[in-house]
Amino acid sequence: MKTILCAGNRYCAEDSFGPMVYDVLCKNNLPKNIELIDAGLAGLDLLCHFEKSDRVIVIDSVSGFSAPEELVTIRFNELQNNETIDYGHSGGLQYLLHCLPALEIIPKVDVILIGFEGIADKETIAAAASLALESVNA
Amino acid sequence: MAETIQIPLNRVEGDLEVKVTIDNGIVTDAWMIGTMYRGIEKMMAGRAALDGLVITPRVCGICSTSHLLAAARALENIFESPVAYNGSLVRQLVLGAEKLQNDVRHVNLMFSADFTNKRYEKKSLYEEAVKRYQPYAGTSVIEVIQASKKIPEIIAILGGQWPHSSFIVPGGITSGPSGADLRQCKMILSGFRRWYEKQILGSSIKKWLQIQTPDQLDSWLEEESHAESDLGFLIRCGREFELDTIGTGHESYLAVPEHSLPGIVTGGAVSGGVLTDNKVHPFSQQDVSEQIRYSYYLDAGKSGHPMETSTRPAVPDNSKKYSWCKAPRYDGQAVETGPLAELLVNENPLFKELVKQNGNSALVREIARLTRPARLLPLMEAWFNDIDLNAPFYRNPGEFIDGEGFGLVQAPRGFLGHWLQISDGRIEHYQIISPTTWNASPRDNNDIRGPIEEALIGTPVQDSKNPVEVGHVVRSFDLCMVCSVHAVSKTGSTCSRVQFGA
Repeated sequence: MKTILCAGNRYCAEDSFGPMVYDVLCKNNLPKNIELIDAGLAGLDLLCHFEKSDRVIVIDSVSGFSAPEELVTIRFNELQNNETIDYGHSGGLQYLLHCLPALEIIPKVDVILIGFEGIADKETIAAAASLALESVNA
Repeated sequence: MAETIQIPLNRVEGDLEVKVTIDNGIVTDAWMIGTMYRGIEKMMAGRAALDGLVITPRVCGICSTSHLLAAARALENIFESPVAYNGSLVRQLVLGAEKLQNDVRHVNLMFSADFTNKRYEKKSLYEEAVKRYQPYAGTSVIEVIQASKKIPEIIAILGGQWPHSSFIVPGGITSGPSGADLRQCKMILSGFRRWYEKQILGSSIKKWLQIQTPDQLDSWLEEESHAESDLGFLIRCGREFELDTIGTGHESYLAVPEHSLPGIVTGGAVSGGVLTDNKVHPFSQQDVSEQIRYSYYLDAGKSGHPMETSTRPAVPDNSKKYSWCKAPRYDGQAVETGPLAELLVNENPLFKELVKQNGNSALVREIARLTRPARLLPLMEAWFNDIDLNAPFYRNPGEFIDGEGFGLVQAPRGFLGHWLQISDGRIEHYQIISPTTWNASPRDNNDIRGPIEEALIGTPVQDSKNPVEVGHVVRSFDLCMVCSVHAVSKTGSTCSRVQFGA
């Protein structure tokens, strides 16, 4: 099983990148072995999607990984340089990503983040959707 | 020399800043600053009568079931509609499930992370604390993540969705679980119970519940499996790091009746009441009021009972207002709510004595929270067994009528209330007071500090640049300020944050 996990809040423009890509991907006829998830603002409760997949493509708004308004692909090991993060009761997606090695999800599962900083236009959303499909099938 | 510092606090749900004045290493004054406006009440006005069932669970992604239940109860209070007994059982089960997940996650992931602070590196239990509570990798952290992940499945199976479900409606629930559904839920619950007894208690629930006095607790701790359990370590570590001497505040407590159903042993149920001046009084929602002298709301929106108050945001120049939280009061008094309050209004002998010895400290609050599943799990098993698949889960509430009503719930963090007025089939008025609004309230109209503000007074702070002691006290109330947005950031900070509730 492969999973495309779109995270964020569609009601907050700067955090709506994941849900916008989800809307585009919904219109695709995805193969049965690819699960498309609207992850919303969930955190630790997304663990089940990592447990049942061999590859997870996370699509989310990012900060600091690239120049603003530039689509970026981030490998899991690039996420691990972070200092202690802020988190709330649900942990948040970032907390979960940090826990994956201790949960023994990494290195079993290939995790790739497709990110964007800023408010994406239609072309960028479409490009991100295509990149997600390429990455999940690579 | 006194200095005043402002601390943005993470590991609480939502945005919060704590301002404290520290004089000679002691906190001498404190202000709890809710930094974002919720506005749900304003959104509700003019909508259809039942819309609260869909909108208010969105106040929070962690305790959405509690808000749904409060919204349904408020409508039932107006319609005077009875609830199908099976529906009541399922409601209690999903509320219980929400508490199970919250309690173990809060203690091991949010609260105990402060035990890994360098402030304690010379303490004998520091190394073990880091091994257990190091964020993302600590043994107790990973244990809790693994064990708590299946609990929301109980809500999803019984209600069709989690979080933000809307299956609780006036008269019961809209779903009709099958025998297979119930068996699956019971398996999840029994798996969690086995893990809880082994990892958290290091003993059976029955054995833990037999402890009645602090001396018996100390004897219990002498057994290796108990001392090495997560609860045992929390107590040992909390004592060595002196968390049993900080966080004492107003000794007034509030909890509303919950988890008590006819025909079932109610040993773990919350009897509800108000504990002030060492006496438990019956609770009356008429004695609840909201005050706004120090809150960012128009003074013209008068203080008073939530059915009379309004939510009219305003940030006037040169005012003393400092928080988006209102100041709820019970019979004019600031009261603490949460798991410790549940035990004290129930007159639990162990916790009554623990508070008598050391006050309502940060440590005793966390012990109350981490042991709540021990009180809930036997009840939840009984509720599952009492469901009659041949009986209805829903009773038609009849005609939806206009009127005023309230829905009260003892939620994971304490007393939650929804107050509602329906006119011409539309919502005329909606007010929500959440548990954190009680605990994190600013000063009231009489300049009396809120419960956390008061609990911070007297807290020793060794290093004002690393005020971990303040974090212990504030987090011991398990705050849930709002639901917020988190996006992945290279520096680890939160970005793109949007607030929906307080």
